[in-house]
Amino acid sequence: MENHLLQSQTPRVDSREFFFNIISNHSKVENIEQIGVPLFSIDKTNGDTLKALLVDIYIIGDAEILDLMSRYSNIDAIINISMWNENAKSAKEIAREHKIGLFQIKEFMGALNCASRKAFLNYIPPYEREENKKRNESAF
Amino acid sequence: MIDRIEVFYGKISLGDKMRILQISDIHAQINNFQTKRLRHSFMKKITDLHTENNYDYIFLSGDISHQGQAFNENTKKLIEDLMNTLELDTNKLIIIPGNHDLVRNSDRSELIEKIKAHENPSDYLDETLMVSAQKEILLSSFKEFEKFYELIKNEQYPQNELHHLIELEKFNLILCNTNIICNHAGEEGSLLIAKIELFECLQKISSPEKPTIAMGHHTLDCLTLVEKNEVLTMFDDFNVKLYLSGHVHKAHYKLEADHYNEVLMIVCSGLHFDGYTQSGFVDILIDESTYYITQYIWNSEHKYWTTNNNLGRKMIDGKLIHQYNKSITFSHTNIETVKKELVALFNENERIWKQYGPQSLIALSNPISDLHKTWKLKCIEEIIPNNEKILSIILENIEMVPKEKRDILELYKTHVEGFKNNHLSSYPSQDVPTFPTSIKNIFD
Repeated sequence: MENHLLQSQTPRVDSREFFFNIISNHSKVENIEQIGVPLFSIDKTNGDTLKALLVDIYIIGDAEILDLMSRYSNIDAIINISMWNENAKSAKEIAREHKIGLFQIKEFMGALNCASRKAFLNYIPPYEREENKKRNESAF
Repeated sequence: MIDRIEVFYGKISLGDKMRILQISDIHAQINNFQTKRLRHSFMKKITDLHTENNYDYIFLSGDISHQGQAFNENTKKLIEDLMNTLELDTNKLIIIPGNHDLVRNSDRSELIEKIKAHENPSDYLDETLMVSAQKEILLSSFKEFEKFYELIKNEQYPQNELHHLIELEKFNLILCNTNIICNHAGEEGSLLIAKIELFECLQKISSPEKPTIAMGHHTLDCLTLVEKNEVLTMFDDFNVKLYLSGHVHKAHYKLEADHYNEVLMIVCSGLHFDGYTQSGFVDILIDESTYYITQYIWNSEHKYWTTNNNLGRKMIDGKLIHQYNKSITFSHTNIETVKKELVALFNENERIWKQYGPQSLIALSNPISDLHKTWKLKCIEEIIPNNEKILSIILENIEMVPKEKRDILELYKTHVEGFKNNHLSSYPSQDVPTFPTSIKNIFD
């Protein structure tokens, strides 16, 4: 499939390989296949299949998430590959409203453990849960 | 400004400031009743002033003796008492001769008459001083002063130099000998300074960034108009902003500003009483940008020292506050210092970015490395404060930024604000401009 990302947003080859290797070794993943330069199809052990878009964008804000969604239809997850990158909370909300999970790589690894799509979309990593607790916000 | 001076005077430590006591025209052999009273009271007054804030130097601008009479024990004792009162060593006492400190002789008188009779006395004096035998004749009248100098200071007077440069810790001092052709009373307006010797003396200044003060016995108005102009142009070129003198026995201040940088002229009155002299002394406080001058005057009727607010509108409160370093442009040294400071901050940020940032080797090879936490911490604790320091330094020196580069500064400001927002707020944005590398050369 054609790459609709800007060059600067496209993960490097070694990043894509890194993603492929780390996801293929995940205990809840049956199979992973690269179906485009930034696109992967992930078969989970529970029979679910996720279409995941891998990007490398320093900050994904509202404008960036809307732009990504307009370029790619029928995706289930957008993964911002580097831990140096950041996803704005509001962008995550927008994605969630469109039934797309917006994750950093480590969050995505955690979200893959969720059995249901709903839990997958609402996944909050442990450190964020702790912070939410401190702020008396929902831990889930 | 008045509040400022009061704050300075209210402090125990003057820190980077210098405090100087200038006295002049002691005419030590004058010892009438009024003179005895004012000198006695003077010691008490300066003790009080010294207790408030220490004096660092005593400047004695000539006429220690009277009418060429011998320097006697009383003269020596008076100066020693002064140094003891102010707890200063002899190296903190700066003395220059005045016309009353000379002992005249016929050879010198003849030579001076020859110089004065020349069609160009100023140039002829310069030529005369180049002949060592003639220079010796002109300096022969200073022998007694030199002996007294050695007695008081325990060091040899620099006999062969007409004018002296003393490079003190915080400022340069040019001691001008204005007496070289003094030979009679009433010579004011016709004196010469030996301009080549003064020029060569000024050329020796090795730290031009320090304030330079000049002191001579005579006011510059005692020189010929042409000679005064030569001196002022040299003061202009060598950044002399303060000239201290005595001789006229009346306190005065004047700002020479026509065609030159401003030179503040301070005239100290005498430390004796003779019915004409308005006895006085000067208190000088100097910081890195301003002179604070207080003239004191003797109230001969009621016998006390008081600040002199009678000298002009700039001294209504008895203190003249003169900003001598008001330059908004930087000297070569200063702008280089600013640039160095900026380079250090830019380099530090770049080092952190290369080592820990999103384009670091580790970030690219292992996108899930915990090094991103270090990067976050470094951003908050080092890069953001460094950015703000950089911005502050540039804004403090905005006059030095070429107009065509102001856009770069605006871009950098936006970058700094956005970078801070992205790392500290919950609303990061991808639209923040990246670091504009041209900011590194903003002053070029």
